[in-house]
Amino acid sequence: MDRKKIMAAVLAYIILISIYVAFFSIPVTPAYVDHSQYMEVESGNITSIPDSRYIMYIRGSLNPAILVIATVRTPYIPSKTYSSTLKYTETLTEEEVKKRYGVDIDLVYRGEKIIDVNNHTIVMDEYDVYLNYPVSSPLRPKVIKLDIGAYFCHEKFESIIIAYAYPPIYASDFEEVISSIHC
Amino acid sequence: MIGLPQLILASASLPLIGYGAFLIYHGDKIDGLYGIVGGIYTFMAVILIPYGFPGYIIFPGAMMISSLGGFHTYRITRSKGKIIKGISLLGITIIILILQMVL
Repeated sequence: MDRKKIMAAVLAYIILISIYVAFFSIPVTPAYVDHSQYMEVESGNITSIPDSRYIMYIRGSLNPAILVIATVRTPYIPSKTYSSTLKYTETLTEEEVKKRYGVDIDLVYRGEKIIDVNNHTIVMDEYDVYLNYPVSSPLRPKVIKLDIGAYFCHEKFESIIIAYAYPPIYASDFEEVISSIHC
Repeated sequence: MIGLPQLILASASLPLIGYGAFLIYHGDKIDGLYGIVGGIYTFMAVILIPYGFPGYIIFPGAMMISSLGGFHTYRITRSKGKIIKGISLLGITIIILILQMVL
């Protein structure tokens, strides 16, 4: 009898874990920005369990703005996956800034801000990105902004991670861009 | 509206309810009842996530309820198996909660 109960318990928990694995494997609907000035330039998978994907957008110009939006299947935040995806998104954005501006960069943490957009509260870390030009470039900014944050899209059981790097000329875009992101 | 991810996560309540019913059928009424309560809690918690329920305590919460079932049954039957069940599930619950806080 006890053996039967132990077998039933093991079976119940195996099924339970399988359900969790199935949940994390469901493909996400990648969050996107609905803004005419921002063009999708790249997209890809980050991990398959949990399913997570990213899309990169650029506002093209001599001094481009870069927006990376990652979507992760989660029943909640925070989690280890969330943290690693946040790091992944941050690194991806930093590499794109280096590539687009053709410079090495230094990041300086400036603080935190909380934004309420589309019924979600986004907590964002603010950084100044110092662009180290090898030669003087009067037409290009010395410092651009990088804001990184995340929120839980509870309607779809997905976490949305946003990294937005923008030069001073596009600072006025910020609220419009963030509110144009849909999960 | 309930989507596929929420439906799959809510179905995690079924093995708990099934296991509880199995225990009740085999005469282990108190422990079985705790199992069923754990299953109902899981279902309700998943339904309430969109309204702000903290999702990170769903799985540990269900384990904690099962662990209480083990302790309660031990008080009545003095069965070693039940105290082992209670302690091990409580241990797993604490480990999961700590891991979620640290990570």
